[in-house]
Amino acid sequence: MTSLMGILQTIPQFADFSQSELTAIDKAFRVENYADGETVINDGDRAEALYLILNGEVEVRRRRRDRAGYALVEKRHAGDLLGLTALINNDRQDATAVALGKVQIASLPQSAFELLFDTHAPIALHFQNLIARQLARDLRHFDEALRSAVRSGEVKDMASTLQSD
Amino acid sequence: MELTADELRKRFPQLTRHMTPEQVRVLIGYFEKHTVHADARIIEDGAPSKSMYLVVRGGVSIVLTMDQQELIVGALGPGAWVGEIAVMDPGPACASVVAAEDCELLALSLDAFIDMQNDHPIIASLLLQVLCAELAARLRASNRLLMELIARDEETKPAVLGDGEWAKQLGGQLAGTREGLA
Repeated sequence: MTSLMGILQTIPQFADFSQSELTAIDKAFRVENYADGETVINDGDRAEALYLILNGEVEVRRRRRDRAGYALVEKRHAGDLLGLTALINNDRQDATAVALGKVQIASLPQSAFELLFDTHAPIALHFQNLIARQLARDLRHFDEALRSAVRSGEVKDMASTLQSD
Repeated sequence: MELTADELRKRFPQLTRHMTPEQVRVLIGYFEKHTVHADARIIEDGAPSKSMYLVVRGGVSIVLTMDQQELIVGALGPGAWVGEIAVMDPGPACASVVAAEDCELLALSLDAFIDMQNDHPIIASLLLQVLCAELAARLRASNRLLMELIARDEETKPAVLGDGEWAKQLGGQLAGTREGLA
């Protein structure tokens, strides 16, 4: 079985992490395997960890306002982080994440996340850049969707745009 | 007048709350002070942007340009950051930022930010912590807004609204929820 370190070395987002940084991450994260359809994150749960997809695909589902089904679905891939906004804002999860097929995920418990940031400044900085880049990319994506709504008035198009990614 | 480290700490405690006075002094050295007059375009929608700005005095408007029309979707004042998305995820700016009045800004260029990360990683990490929190809060608000729009789409058919009316309503919601897009 490939080690976490071995997998991280294949993920482009970690290409500029040094060997010692990858070793620290390898020690702090816990690798878990999810079966098809298994829930990784539950909407409404308290933030407990940061999740990094190592391989496979995860579907992030946002509930309709009337809670009857899901209105918005996004797919996330290897290298993507999950549960970011809840962890950073110390809030509840605002979406459900479900494995599509077999998925391997590395999780970093909140306490370890804080410890890593308090004690390993260079790793924390590197990781923060990764987090900031994903948040900025997600925001850019949402902004484009909002802009498309303004332009066309067809909100349903936004859902399909997000779904096709 | 130059903004001192002490003044930065007093005026923007959220930004500097985990920093020592010495760290704030170092931080301020990476910023470049910009004074702009009302109506000056600080960031141009779609153009490459290599600096982020902290609004120190005055106010700015967030403006979307679409089909040769401009739509004001937000207004930000002292303490707000603009332009950070294009610095964190290099690419064109998501919106224009226009001075709504005479403004004083602190600019942090991508190059200066990289230098700070190399020379003062702890200070850069503390700054990134603040920026990540701001980005995360904004993303969460964007998600909520999208869900609102989708729900409204299901309740009232947007086709009955003219494009201009739809844009006006969305613009109002964005401004109301402080959804700065820059």
